[in-house]
Amino acid sequence: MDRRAFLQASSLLLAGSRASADAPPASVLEANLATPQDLATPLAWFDRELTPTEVFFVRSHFGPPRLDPSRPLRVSGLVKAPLSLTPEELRRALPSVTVTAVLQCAGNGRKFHSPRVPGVQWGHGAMGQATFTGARLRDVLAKAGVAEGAGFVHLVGADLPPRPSVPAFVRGIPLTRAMDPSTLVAWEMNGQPLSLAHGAPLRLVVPGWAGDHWVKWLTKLVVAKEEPEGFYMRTAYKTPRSPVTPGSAVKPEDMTSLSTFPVKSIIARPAEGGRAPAGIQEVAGCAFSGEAPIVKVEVSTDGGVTWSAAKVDGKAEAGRWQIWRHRFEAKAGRATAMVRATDGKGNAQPEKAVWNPSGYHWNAWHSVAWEVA
Amino acid sequence: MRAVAALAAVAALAGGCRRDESPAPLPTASAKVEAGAAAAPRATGRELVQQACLSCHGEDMLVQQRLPREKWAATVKKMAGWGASLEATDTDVLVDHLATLYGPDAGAWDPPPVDAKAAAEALAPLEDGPLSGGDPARGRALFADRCVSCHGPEALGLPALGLALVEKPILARAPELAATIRKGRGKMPAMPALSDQEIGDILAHLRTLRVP
Repeated sequence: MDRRAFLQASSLLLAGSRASADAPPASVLEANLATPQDLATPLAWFDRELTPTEVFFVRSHFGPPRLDPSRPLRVSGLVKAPLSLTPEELRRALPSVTVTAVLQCAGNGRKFHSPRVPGVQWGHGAMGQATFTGARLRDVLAKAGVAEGAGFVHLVGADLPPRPSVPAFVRGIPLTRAMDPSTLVAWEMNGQPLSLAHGAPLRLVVPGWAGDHWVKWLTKLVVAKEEPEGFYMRTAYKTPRSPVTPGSAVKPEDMTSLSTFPVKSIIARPAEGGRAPAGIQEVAGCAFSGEAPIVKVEVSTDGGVTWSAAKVDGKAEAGRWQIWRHRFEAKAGRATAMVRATDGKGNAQPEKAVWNPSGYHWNAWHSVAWEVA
Repeated sequence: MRAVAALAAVAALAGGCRRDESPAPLPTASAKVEAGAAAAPRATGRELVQQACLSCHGEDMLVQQRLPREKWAATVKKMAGWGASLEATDTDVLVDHLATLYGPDAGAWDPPPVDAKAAAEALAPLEDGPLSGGDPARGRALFADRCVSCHGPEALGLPALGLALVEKPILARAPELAATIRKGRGKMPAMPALSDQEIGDILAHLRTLRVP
């Protein structure tokens, strides 16, 4: 893609997002890291079902490879017939499917863990929800024919580490998750070709699972008996099997790999420290769980003494967020709101997030305070 | 301060890579950080940050951390193991520098806003201009002569030396590649005498390489 086509694609994304929402927030991101880009979505965008691509958070370890719309996807390992397909060949060969799903970085909310841990110090903005269109991973694997003894699919992107002494970002998912009909090799996001920052030309989509599994710039699928070796599988993206004392060291054998993200709800508006006229206040945001559909969202406007059920809109599905709203009357002074959600497996969002050495899965009750004048 | 930081971030994204320029003063999180910095062996620590950390990631990655000394020591050890350009004898100076500036009490840090269009622009291809039409065969020979000792024969980088270049976005941003080659960057020597033709040839060669 040349520069003109690249920028045209960007302005299409811009136009599409503007048309879809009432008075959208400003088209800005928050730059946790400019090089390589780690960009967060501002909270104000989380009161709507779909997060526009142009303000959708961006995260990678090494930055993108150059844009190559025809970079092939190779399937090898424990398969009957290894494959190499360009994105265009993939589109033509297999049925396309669209899912709506939350993409959330495992480290979203890391800066709220105490004591602090190393890593990108994300606030709330390393998440978003979009539609993703692509082929089912199980259809791709069926085309190659999964052989006896397969247990995992290794996922390799084209984003080379800066030096060969830096471990490559290689993740793996169990074959059972790979065969789930919601797991896609996607080429579109929000109805447009994937942007380079979001994984063009192909990325994995694993609804309900943390973002580290949604490998971007996907170039190799290796079917294997075991999970991959390497730092990003054996050391990173692990969390203690049971809660530990905050700040303590955890033995490797007491850690387990991340998979689904836990139940969570977030207040998109009002903004912390904002001002509003006295009278009816509307609090709104999103709620989701990687485990099960949301069954309850509750809001407290008295510091947690009493809780009211919020109105929840949208399709209830594991790995998909719904928008909730709650209205209440406030007199002049300081107003507060706090939210918590429960999913269909009975997982209740905790008052305090479970501390872990890498700061994953922060999901404590979210609260905001603002001035009513 | 926040507005200044925001503008700097926008400029950094819009301009792509500023790493070939001399470092701007560190954004500081609080007055306390400033006071701490004065007591630290700043010049040396500063140089080590430039040499060991900033070749791979922007300084914001350091500035946003709030870690006690032992966590900084573990992080530096991990990065040295991954091939950061750092002598073992310099480790303590770097760790002290980081722990002094970005310890647990260094105050709040908020990511600066960046315009969504500027963020996309930072990854967009640029016109090749005078670097267009290079010859990959001549470029391969030039690369072998001038670049291989640091970037490696396959341009995949070498520990503590040059970075991987294969399929990196800078290959779609020819003017930035030319500026980096001519001005140098970190340990990379400036090569101001290379002509547009020669850099165009190197670029044409690099564009033939694919991620293994």
